[in-house]
Amino acid sequence: MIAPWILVAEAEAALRQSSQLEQSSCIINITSHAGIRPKGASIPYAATKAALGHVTKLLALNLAPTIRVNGIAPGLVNTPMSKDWAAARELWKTRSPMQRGAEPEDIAQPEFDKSCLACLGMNSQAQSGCRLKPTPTQ
Amino acid sequence: MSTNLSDSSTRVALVTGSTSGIGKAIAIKLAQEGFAIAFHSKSSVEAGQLLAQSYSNASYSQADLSDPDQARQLIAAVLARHGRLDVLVNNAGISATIP
Repeated sequence: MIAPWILVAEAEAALRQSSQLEQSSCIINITSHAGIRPKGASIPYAATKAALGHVTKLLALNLAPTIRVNGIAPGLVNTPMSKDWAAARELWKTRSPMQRGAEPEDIAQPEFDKSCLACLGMNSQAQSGCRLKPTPTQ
Repeated sequence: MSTNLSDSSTRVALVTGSTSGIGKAIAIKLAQEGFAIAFHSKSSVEAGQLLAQSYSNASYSQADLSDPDQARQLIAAVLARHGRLDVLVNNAGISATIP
C-alpha cells in the first residue's frame, strides 16, 4: 500500500509528460478479490488490498484526465505465491465452475488492449470514470 | 551515467514484481504490444536479468519496495535508463502465507 503510493508520487511527473490525448498514460494497481469480499484471506492482506482499491479510485479521480488509473482484483491465481495453498487449490477443483484457478495470462490478457487500456470501469474510456463522481445533490 | 535504451517514441512500462506470476504475465503481454519493459523484483535478480535480455529495450532493476528510499530510487533508475514512463503497474505484493 505504501509502496504503490510512493511509486505513483515519484512517477506522476514523468507519466504526465509522456501522456498524449489519444494515448494517455496509465497506472494499474493489482489489488485482490480478498479486498472486496471477506474471504479466507489474512486480515492485514485483505485490508491492505481494500485500501489499495480505494486509493485506486481516488487516484483515478485526481489524476484524470491526463493519467488513467485502474485496478485489477484477481481471485485465486496459479502463481508461485499460491503454489502451497492446498486447501485453496482443492476449492478450485470442487467449487470453481472451470474446475481450476486462473492462470497469470488470464489476468494479463483481457485487461490490456494495444494501448494498455484497462477496462474495469474505474477510469476506463468506456466509463470515463463517471461512476467515480458523486451524484449531484437534489 | 545513464544509458537510454529506448528511442523516444517507444512507450515504457514499469511492472513491479514482474519476474513471476501475474506481474510477469502482464509484463510479457505489454512487451508483445510493443512496450519497452522495466522489469523489477525484490530478490530474483537472475530471473529479472534474463527477462530483460529476452525483450528489446527492456531493463531490470532490483529494489525492496518496503524501503521508501528504494522505491524512489526505482523510479529514478527507470527514468535514467528509459528516458520516459507511460505505464506503471503496481503488482508487487507481499505474502508468504495464504492471503
